[in-house]
Amino acid sequence: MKIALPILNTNNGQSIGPSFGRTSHFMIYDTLTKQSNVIENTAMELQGGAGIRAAQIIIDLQVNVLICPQCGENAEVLLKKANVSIYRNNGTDIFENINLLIQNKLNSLDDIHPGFHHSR
Amino acid sequence: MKIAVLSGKGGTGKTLCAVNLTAVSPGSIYVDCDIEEPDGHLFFKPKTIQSEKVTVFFPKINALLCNGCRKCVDFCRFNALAMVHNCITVFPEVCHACGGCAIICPVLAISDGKLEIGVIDDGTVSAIRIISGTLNPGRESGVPIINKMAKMIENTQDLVFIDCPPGSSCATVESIRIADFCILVTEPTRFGAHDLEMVHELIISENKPCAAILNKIDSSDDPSETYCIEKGIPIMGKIPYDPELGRINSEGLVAAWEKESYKIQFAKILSRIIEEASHETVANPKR
Repeated sequence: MKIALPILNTNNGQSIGPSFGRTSHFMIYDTLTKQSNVIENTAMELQGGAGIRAAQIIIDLQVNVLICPQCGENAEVLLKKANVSIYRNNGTDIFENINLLIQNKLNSLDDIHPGFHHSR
Repeated sequence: MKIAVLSGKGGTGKTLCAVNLTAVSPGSIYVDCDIEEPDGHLFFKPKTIQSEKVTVFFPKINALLCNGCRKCVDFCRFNALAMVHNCITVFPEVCHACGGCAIICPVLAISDGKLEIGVIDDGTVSAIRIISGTLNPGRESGVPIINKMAKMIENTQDLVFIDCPPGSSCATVESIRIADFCILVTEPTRFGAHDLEMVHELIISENKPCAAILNKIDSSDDPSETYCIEKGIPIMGKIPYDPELGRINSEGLVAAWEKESYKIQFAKILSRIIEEASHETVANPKR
């Protein structure tokens, strides 16, 4: 199983970031190989459609589960189509959340917001 | 002659002026380009002769032809297209209707799905033609509606008043594109003067001649008037702050049709505008 998490680089190392589409990096963790890999989120700087592009990146990496605090409507549509399950993180510690997920102790993210799409 | 009525700030009296100037010009055309909130028709109550739906390009994917090359997904700078399991998903709210995906598709799997974004009503009242555009709620840009209305009137020899959207966004730029002359309606507030400056800069960049109508004038200082004097914007008239005018207007009535004194007031302003605009046209025949 491949798990994706939006991550934030802080002074105390890495933690789960507050945003999905606009996060600077994603961590991809593979439960089979126990390997983690950090990739840049090229959608971050986009003017619009960042959630859609970020979801496309996650889908193309054949991720099965996304752990994040919130996710926009458009991204959710795509992730659902690709059968990516979305769970809400508990705290911001990356590996603690991965363990919680494996123990089936995370809740699915059901309050999807309609997005913060700016008006032109 | 085509006269655009603008203000920058909302609520300064654009529609009041556009409606009443039109009302004292029988045989003229009133075009409501304030497509997010077209309210000129509330005053004129025209008899609609024709309603036309406005559509924009919307990618319609033929799944049988699509070979999953993803060229459209990579091309779209707005990220309106995505691909899951070799199937294209389109996000209508994100699509800017550029049509590029249909051009780039090597197997012609994308055609125009024609998304309806609004409607144009064309009607008449008292020998005045009323054209009014309405953008559907939730749509991001009404520019295609404005462009279509501009096409409808571009070759007319009649006097046209274009009621522009507030602000200085794309919709305003498109609204003044076919105008020969711009009228800036101002109010005596700092906020009004600030937005007047923004829209005046826009008019200069579009190389259009302009003049101002100072609205809601009272005894206090008017920063909008100061701006007009500083920039040499000719003042076509001053409309005093007048609760009665406000009341008639708020009841959805055309002031110039309700009371002789208002008719005279707006007719005077109009004759000055026509005179000023004719000078400008003679001085700059290219316009």
